[in-house]
Amino acid sequence: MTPILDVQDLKTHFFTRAGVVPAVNGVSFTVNRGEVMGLVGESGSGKTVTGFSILGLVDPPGRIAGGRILYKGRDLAELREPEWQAIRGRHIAMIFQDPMMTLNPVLKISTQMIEAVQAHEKISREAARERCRKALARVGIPSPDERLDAYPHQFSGGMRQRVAIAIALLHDPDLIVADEPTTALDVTIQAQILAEVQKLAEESGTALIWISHDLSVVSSLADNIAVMYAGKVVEQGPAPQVLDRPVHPYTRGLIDSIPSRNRRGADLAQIPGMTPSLMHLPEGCAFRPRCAHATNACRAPQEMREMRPGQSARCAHPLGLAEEVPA
Amino acid sequence: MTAPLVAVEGLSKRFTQAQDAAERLATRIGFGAPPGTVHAVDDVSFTVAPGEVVGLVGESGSGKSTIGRMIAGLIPPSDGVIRYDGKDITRRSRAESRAAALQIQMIFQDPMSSLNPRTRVRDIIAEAPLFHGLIRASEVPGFVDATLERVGLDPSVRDRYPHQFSGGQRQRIVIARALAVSPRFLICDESVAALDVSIQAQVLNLFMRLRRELGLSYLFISHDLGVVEHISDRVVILYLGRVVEVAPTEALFAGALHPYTQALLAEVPRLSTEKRRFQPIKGEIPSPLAPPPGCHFHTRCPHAGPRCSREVPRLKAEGPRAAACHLHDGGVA
Repeated sequence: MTPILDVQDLKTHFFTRAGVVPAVNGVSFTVNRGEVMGLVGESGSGKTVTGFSILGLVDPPGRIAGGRILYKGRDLAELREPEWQAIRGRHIAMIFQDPMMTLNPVLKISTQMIEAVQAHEKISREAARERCRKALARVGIPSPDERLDAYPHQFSGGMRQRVAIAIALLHDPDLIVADEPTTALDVTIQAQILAEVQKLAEESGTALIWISHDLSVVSSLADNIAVMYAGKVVEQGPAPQVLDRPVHPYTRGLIDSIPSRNRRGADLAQIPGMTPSLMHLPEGCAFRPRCAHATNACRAPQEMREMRPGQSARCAHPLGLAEEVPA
Repeated sequence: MTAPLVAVEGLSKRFTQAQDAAERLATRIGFGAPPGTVHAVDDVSFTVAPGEVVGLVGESGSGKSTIGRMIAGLIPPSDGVIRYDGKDITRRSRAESRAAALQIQMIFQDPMSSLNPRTRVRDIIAEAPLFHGLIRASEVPGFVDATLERVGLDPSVRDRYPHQFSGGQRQRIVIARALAVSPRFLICDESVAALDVSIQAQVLNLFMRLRRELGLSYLFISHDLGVVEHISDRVVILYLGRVVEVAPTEALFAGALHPYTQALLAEVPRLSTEKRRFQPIKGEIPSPLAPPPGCHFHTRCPHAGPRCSREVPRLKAEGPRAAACHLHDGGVA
């Protein structure tokens, strides 16, 4: 089965006056039909820029400096803007963190949604409106007929995010890139959105790239997880395996610093130091200065290696493998 | 039981929508509708013992930040009393109240917007203690260095500006500024919400170390139950301006009494190695301008009965726990 999306050694760099910022520097992963891929990382790790690159949304001074983004075998990195417009929104859609930024505040929801339908299909206004009504109903918006004629400010935050998801679903895309879509929402509303998304992914077979800083949210949703650090994927594999038996010390550190994993009141396990500046990355493994296991071997560039079946990492001293060596 | 360090009794805050000229005129001649009123905080009472960490949890619009701001003296309450060390500090004019206010410090969510970008770290830290006469000008360099070390920053950063620091370091500067006036009570309003997970752990550890070293008490305001579970001794849960449940942390996370707390606990994303089904509670948080009558939660509650929409449940205490729900006070029928 060919994957829906095959990202190979993607490099997205920003060419600023102060120098080149390698925001994404060699990211590879694949997403199959109906699969949920969790892209996890802290601020500045390049997870959002990766998502933007997949949709061709990187603005100057940034551009894709290398690698391939194969969508059903076709390289998106080489597309020109008109070709992009035929794909974006129709075959690949995006959901952003802040739905107020996605929606135009002075246009009715119906105007915006019908425009999105007619941009890709020759279809009458009435048929387009009917499609929009169905999309709103699908994401759990009550009385979609009346709500179509409301303005974005008349919706609550959770409902706005549902509208954004409905717009992403209008053309039954093969792939949705969701960038922190529940981060701004309250816990009970977040759970509602996660439930909707889970249902939709299963029913429609849409593949999903779920970008988040929150491992707990991703863990309940994703089939596969890729952990990013300083522009590179440092570990990836099936979600249960990565969360249960991480091999990269950074993944281990991220999991251990979640409060609910620690004994109450005890000091949290913390990763010392902070994320390095992308313009002055340490040589070799970028995590080396913060890593308790670092040795001289870590000064050499680390390649992605398969540590267990399906699970690979960039690390010279992977955790928890020694005791597994078969006798 | 020791006397509480901070006690709030029947605290309420109402915000009234500003009327325009025509509406004011209409009201004056007796035809206008009364201005819309939001009960941001509605008859809230709780205490914080010396050395205790109390978590204040709620979703948007629950009034948790408003409570924090009233205790810190940033906004006056509409009703109710705030006591610090047994003394009423609700009216801030007396010198005594002002001294108490100095012992209550607040730490906000976004460190960048609470630091003056054009002031050096040393002045940020030394300004308040100098003004209040806690230190002399000659003592400033030593004082600044000691305060920076206390929050885990290298004293050599004293001459830098806030923009030269990362988010986690900035939050440490904010904490250092709060500690500079020797407070006994810190109000942390979503203080770690904007930080990355690994940095969040560092700042939480700092809070716990300061508590051990300085005997501080905290009111820890957060929407993040995982963080609150980790750091608090007791938890106060708010829904639309009212307290729905109070309980010691361990008891609360072992089994909540109020249906809202139960739903909240069930829906917190937890790190799990298997996929899970979300069973979200229906509906949204109602508008605080027109909250439902009776129990505010009855519109979303799976156990609601006719009594819930008629009668406001009272906060009924049982030992160290309390819940405001008719289920635990005579039934919903």
